[in-house]
Amino acid sequence: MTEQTVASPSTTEAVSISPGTTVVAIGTKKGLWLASSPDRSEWTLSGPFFGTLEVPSVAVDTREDRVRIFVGINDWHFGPTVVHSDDGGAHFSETSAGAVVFPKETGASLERVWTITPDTAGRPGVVWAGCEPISVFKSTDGGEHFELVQSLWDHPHREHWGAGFGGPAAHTIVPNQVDDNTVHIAMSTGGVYRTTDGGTSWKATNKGIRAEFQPEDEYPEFGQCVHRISADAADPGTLYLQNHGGVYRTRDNAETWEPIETGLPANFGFSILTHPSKGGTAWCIPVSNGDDRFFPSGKCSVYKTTDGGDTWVEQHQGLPDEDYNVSLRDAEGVDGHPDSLGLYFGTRGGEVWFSANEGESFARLAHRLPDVLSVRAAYVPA
Amino acid sequence: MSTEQTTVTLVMPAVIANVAGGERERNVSLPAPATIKALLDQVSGEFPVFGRRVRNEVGEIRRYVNIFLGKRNIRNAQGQDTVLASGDRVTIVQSVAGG
Repeated sequence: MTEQTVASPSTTEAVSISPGTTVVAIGTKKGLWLASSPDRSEWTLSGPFFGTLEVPSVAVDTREDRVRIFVGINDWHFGPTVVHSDDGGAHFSETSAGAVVFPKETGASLERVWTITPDTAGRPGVVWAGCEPISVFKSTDGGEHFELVQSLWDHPHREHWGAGFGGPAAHTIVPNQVDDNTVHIAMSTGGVYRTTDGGTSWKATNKGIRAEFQPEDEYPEFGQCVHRISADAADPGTLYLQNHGGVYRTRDNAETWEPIETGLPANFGFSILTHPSKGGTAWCIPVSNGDDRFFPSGKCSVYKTTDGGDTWVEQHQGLPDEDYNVSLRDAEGVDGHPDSLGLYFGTRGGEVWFSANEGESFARLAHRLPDVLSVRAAYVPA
Repeated sequence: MSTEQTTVTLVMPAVIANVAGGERERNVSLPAPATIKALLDQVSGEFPVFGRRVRNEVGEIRRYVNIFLGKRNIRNAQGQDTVLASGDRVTIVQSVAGG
């Protein structure tokens, strides 16, 4: 079969991706929106792209002197795919054979791409995709084609991995900043797995993470419903984790985890974000509990730590006092701005909030969108 | 070896026609005896994106894609093994669903 890149023009207006701008990709239950700003004050919002289709994953990759926006699309009729645009959404391209495709011998078919993760600046062609059914795919050509990480697919635990409420998926991929051979992934339900040999083997690394829903074994080797993990900027062996009940930290490359939820209004939530250059700095967005799943007491707040999770400070300026909503697992991002990091998150109520000052104050970037499923942002280097 | 051909008309919704040459109706000639599977294989060979939209990696017709031979949904016949005859009209229909 001849494989070609098929580029389709958009009927929706593209956004500026010129140097010095900040670009935000917003995936929703029904379509993609793109935003761009020269100063992170006034935003141009364009959309919907892919109007009726679910967009569970987006990424903005500024490596290799271009701005490539990845979009994981779930077409309920005609299947999932990954497309990308290098021109702010004027055109979207996909390879004719599909970017993320299960090998025939697996007997599996792709259900949804849950996360798209560009690797580090030092590995410019490498892009990862975490998928449903639980699987990880790796691209080494900038995201044109992805290959199944067969060693994880063949893992003896796979038949025991379960499905979170949204489906069985590998949803978080954290490449190590300095060690080419180390990658952490998280899945629901299965927990955290780590390779330290470049993907030859994967080890379940969940010691200390509670699985409260697991009868008679609350600390299993694997099977935890981990919602998100993120690595510390200063020490790649330090990671933070938002669990289905519980916020955790590891300081030994995920060998062991310890709770860091003192000072938070709830230990449930979907997201954990880290500062890309300040060690010890992270954010989470608590949710009341696993039963009603609103911001605690209906108050929308972000919580920041600057000491690696020992203490947390509420950040609420500009956010609504009453908002019975939730921010989902992939609906948060940071923009990498070199002067003052920007923070972005979306809600199921169709709002997108941003802060250009590390969460000191927030403003609304977009509202009245469909449920926001995925948000990523990037400052385009000047 | 038989050289007999079965020629059918494939009718597609616009979103599928856009990745299969652009025309909503397409005449396709297949070696006899022909089946729905052979029809999809042939069009997918020429238009791989069409193939991915209509069937998944293991070759199953996607859940919310319906294929009719005349008035009959092939899921109520022999599925992709349903045999075609010259002059048949095969229509791809996406399920009417969603919100």
